[in-house]
Amino acid sequence: MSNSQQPLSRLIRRARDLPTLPRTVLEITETINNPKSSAQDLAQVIATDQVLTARLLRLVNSSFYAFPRRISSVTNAIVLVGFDAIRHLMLSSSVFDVFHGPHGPAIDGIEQFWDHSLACAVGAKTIGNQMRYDRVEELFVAGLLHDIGKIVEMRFAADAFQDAVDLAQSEQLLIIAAEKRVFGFDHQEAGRMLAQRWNLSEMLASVISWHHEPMGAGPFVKEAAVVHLADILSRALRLGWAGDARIPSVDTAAWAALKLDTAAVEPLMADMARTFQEMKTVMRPNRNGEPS
Amino acid sequence: MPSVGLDAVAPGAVLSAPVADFHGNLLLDAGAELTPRNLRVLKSWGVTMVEVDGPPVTEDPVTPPETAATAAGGSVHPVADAQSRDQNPVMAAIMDAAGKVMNRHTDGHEDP
Repeated sequence: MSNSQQPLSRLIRRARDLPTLPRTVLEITETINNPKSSAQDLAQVIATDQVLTARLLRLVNSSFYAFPRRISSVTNAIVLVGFDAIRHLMLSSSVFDVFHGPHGPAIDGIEQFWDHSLACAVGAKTIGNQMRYDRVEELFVAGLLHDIGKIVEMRFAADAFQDAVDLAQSEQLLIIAAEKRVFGFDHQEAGRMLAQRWNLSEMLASVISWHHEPMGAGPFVKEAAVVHLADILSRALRLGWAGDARIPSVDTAAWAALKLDTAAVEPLMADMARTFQEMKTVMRPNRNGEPS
Repeated sequence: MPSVGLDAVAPGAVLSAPVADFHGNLLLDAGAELTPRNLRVLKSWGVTMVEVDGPPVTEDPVTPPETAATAAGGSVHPVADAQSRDQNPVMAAIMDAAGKVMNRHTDGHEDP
């Protein structure tokens, strides 16, 4: 193991080096936050980014929404899915590009790591549907971003992160336990730092910070519990790689908070696994920034 | 030792090489004994070939998996904490469902 203990404070000092969100995403957020904005206004902003435009149209035409007819204009897409959904979808489709481009972390398994995040996002949305949660797109984004702290570690402390992965493998640990031993903190704390840097919503910051101990998420226990469960289901289905080869145990209090029946688990996981395969082709970032 | 089909391995055989799933995640390490329960677990995770030493292989197929939950209660460490599975019915349901969903995929009935 390298001598690479990375206090969180050192990572925080480097926070100014953390990437910012793409300008288009910020403009989209500003447009949505303006009560006078129309769907046409928002469409004009989105249309300035060909990659986002293509991704949005692929998404609204996928089974994620299952609209009965093909959507071919950005304005129609906005009207159909709504402003909030657009904001979350644009955010989620951009975040991993920030880290996935030529300047992203060069670490073995990054593609599998992306798959795990996407599987967790799909799982969170699927669980939300089962619970009749009314803002499932937010759950999708929360699932996608839950492990963003690992990306921070990969980018700014790649050797130490690899040490944590190696330690997790050699001692059969969860990656979060290995991180604590190698870094002195874990990806939840690193993720919280990035959430603050990006001014992510309180709900997203809470889920990122508490998805391993969801009952600590205060007003967002339900959302953290959804992502906690989605993380476990993703690992049980072997969809992607989260940095270790273990499956954390479900928190019984979190399970109770979700009010789900164990009989719902198998159809839910089957639905999740099917949707993951389609979303993988729709959402997956690529290194040259072109639509896939 | 060359790889042999999992269905032809007799209980009691010892792995001469680690077994991983299709993502490369370790399921059982070299030196592990292939108990009937471990054989069922490997099958439920889609493993078809293993390297073994010890007792010779058998021509008889291994008993088909019961459920992933009962199978996963064995000593396959990387899957889920055995204690949590045994004590937590939700984890048992999750592992059972995961085994069934992945088995359907392996059998070609549906894409996971």
